[in-house]
Amino acid sequence: MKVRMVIAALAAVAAVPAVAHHSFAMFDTSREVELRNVTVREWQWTSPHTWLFVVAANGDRYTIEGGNPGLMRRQGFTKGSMAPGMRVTVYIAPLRNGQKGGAINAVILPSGQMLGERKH
Amino acid sequence: MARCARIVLAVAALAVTALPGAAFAQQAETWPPPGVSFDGDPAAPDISGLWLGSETGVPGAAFAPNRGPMDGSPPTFWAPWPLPYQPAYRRIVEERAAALKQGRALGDMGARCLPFGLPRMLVAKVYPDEIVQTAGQVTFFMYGSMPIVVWTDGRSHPADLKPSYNGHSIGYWVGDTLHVETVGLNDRQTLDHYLNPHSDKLGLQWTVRRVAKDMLHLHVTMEDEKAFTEPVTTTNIWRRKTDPRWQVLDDGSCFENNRTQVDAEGNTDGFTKF
Repeated sequence: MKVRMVIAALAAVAAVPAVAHHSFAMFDTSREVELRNVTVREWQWTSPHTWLFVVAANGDRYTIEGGNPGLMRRQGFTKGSMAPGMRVTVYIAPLRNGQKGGAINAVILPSGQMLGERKH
Repeated sequence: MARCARIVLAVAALAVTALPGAAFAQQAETWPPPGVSFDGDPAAPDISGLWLGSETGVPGAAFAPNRGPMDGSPPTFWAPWPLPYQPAYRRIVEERAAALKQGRALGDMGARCLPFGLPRMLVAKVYPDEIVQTAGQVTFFMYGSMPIVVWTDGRSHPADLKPSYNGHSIGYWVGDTLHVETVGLNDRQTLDHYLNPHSDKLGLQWTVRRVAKDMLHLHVTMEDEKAFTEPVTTTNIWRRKTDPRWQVLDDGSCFENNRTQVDAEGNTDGFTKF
């Protein structure tokens, strides 16, 4: 499992996890973490927010929050974008508390297509 | 309500001048007064349609995106900044800021699926809103909130108003501008996405003006003698959205799968269940 931490200057902070119903405060939007070649356990296309559960090769489990389906659809995501067993690379704004999770910035599908937008 | 009564008394003293603020007080005189219409000024534009406003940013705050809504339009800001809080509310801000550094979101009512209310839904936009303008009312259908009705039929605020997330809004048209007064707000929500508090003394004066064919300016002034030392203003910019991708308004029930329910300490266990 390779996790690459990208630290950006605060002045360049621009990330908006497409989140509205609660505060963004739990996510560190000044950073972007790459979760490379993780396996999708579940993709919940639900309100108020979507959720992506992935497992890394070393067994680490990550819980990743996305925006409302309406917003995610406008970024190219659909209910069928991901399915259990699919290998993807996910870019997240990590949780500040150090737990394994964050907010979705972008996802690279097995086809190479990127959904969403990388922030850094 | 007390402020509304003060306005009525003050305006009554001004007799029948056609000042916009005099509209509510002149019911016993010429009604509606010259230049004012409750059912829609002939010169008023029809603002019905789908609009996406801008998002309130926080200058210099590391946790604030300061990016604006999804269409890439820039954020707007409160003025003055920092917000001119009274000492007691400054302490609330500092307490919440300290919690944020630990990843906890104190005062985050949205995570509990409570309505966003006003002024937040006027100035912290992520989703497009539908405005329906009909005789006697202008209605804002917004994500995560009950519809906001601005009564433009000449009624007054109820005498027995129960404080609520949206409060009670009455307005009138003067030319191309809708003038609105909102009272009766509770103190449970935040001003914006950034946990900035307000008290139950908050009152709003806001205007909606179509400044261009597909653009509205919402100028909002907040008075809150309990929380602020002076009024706070912002101008939020709403852009009309006609592209079909914006026209899909989801039900978006907050209760379907709310994994970010927070406890009294502002913690959430949504990330530990997997």
